Amino acid sequence: MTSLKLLLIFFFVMFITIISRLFYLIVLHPTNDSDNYLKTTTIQPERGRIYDRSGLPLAVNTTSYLLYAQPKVITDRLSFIAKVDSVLHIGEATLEAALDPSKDWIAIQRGLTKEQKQKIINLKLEGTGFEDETKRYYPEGSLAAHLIGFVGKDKDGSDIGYFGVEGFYNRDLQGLPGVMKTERDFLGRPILIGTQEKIDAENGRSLYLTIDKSVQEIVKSRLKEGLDTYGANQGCAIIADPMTMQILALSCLPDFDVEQYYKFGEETFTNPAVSKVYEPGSIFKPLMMAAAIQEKKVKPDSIYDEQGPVTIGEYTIRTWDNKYEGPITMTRILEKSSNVGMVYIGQKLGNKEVYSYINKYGFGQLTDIDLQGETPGYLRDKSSWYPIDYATVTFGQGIAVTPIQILRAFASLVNGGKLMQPYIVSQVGEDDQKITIQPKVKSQVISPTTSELIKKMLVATVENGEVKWAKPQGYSFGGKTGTAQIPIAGHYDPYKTNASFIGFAPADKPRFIGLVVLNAPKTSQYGSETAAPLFFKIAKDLLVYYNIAPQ
Amino acid sequence: MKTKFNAIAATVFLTLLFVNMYTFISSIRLSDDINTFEQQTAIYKLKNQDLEEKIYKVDSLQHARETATSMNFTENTTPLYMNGPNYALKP
Repeated sequence: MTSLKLLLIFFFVMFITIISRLFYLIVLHPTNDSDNYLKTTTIQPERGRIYDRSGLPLAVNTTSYLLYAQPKVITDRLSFIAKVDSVLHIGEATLEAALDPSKDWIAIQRGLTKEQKQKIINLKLEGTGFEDETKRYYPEGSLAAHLIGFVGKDKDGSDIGYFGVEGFYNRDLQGLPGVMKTERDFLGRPILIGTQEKIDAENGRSLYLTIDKSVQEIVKSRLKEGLDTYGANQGCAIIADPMTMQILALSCLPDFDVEQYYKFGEETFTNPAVSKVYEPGSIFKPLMMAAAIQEKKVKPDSIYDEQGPVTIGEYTIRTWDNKYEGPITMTRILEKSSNVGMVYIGQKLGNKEVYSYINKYGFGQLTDIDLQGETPGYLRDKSSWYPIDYATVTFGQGIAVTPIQILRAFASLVNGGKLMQPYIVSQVGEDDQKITIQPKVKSQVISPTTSELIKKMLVATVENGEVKWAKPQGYSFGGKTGTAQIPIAGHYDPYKTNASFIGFAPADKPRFIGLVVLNAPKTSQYGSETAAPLFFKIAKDLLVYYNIAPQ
Repeated sequence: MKTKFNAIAATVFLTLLFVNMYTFISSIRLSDDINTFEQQTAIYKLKNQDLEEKIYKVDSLQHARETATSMNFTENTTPLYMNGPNYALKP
């Protein structure tokens, strides 16, 4: 009986001890011990990839490493700093400042390669570690820098796309993060009777661009040559399918290194093709001519008597070479790029229709191209237009447009009169979740008949223009040069121009339309002597690439 | 009766003990497996990414250009266009 009582007392004491301990742990010191075992981690989604129209990669993901340090664990700071700097070369002073001894954990550098990581591991440093991260890898380097944009960090340190399709489609590309809650033992093994919850991350959607990598390479390398040859400080070349307004290539130089974007200024990130406005000059003339034909004010063979300069108020308008041919056809007005002839066209069309057609061609409005940072250009309100404005706009001065706007408007002249929405991405996502983007017709600006007439006039403009270009024989080209003075502080710079050429081929059924714009070329200020030869070089390469037979 | 109950209780107790031990050891083995698979998945993912990167690099125009330059193939092929018919007319 005594021994049973002793056993009972023993169990009672043990019971009270356990209850007391539980009371201490749960009520008096309610630290959540499961925190030591329960690990909650965010599963980062893989950012969507970017491919060209053939499915060849332009931007994919690769693993990089974040090097971190635990300053409280490091005993020999000087040695640590010297060794880390010998691999990363970020400066001993920078490392010294970063290694705050009061902190438990600090990030030293992001974006380390596998080789750099291995070198650091070989140093056998105390108090260091690595975290896996992903970063963008561009197999073609900066081939399409302005089109793709880059991936940087937002204020919270998360990845975010800036500029180009990275910026425009950031929400599609970034995906949704997942969460994993798992209880682990001290060896890191999952405790199966504990919490094990996992919500998978949803990877970002991949983008398939309308860009052809090879065409982009042709355009970029030719543009670079052109800038060097003609001494221009900036230039853009855009190639598109005029029937769908799929952009096949777009390059503006100078651009930036997508791998090391942080070494460049913000001004290089913006894509001049969609973000920079300029006065288009004479490449605007066919648009007004088509409007006049559409409104039945003139016909291609109507006659205008080009006698001399035209006076509008206090302003006198001359032809570019101050030469006048007397009676000339409408086609000849385009061939010789007659400013006074275009003033006549404007007068026949009437101020109301001139302004109306500028709107119909989409100037002063966004084209809604899927690139970040598009500007609508600048079109003043009708109430602030003077008679001289209606006259000069017919030959492309006094209006500010973006290259993509002028390309779209010009494409409507050769595709049967349809104003299309230009686009870069043809497919979002893959397999059964893919979304295919179809060409969008915004409006019908001119009739198919007018389109055919203006196309023939543009072919004549290339054939009988003031300059004979080295264009491949056997192919018919249509196009128009443009030379516009650059406005500075209320007047035009007498020495600098925007030289441009817009053309298409083959003329009867255009496979591509191309715009070349050179800013302030030094060898000649005329588009006919700079942008046009560059366009024909690009066009020659494209005819070979597309295997288009001579007609 | 009492002895029989004690024997049954002891048997049940021992059975439960062994089942518990077996479950515990099995769960540790399973945890080990899960841990190993997680590590292997991470390694294969990295290897896969490395290989993918190498393929993309070798397949790129940039690599082709660099290789061509290193092999002195720096001249572009100039296609013959039909604007030079004199070539065809030569005997």
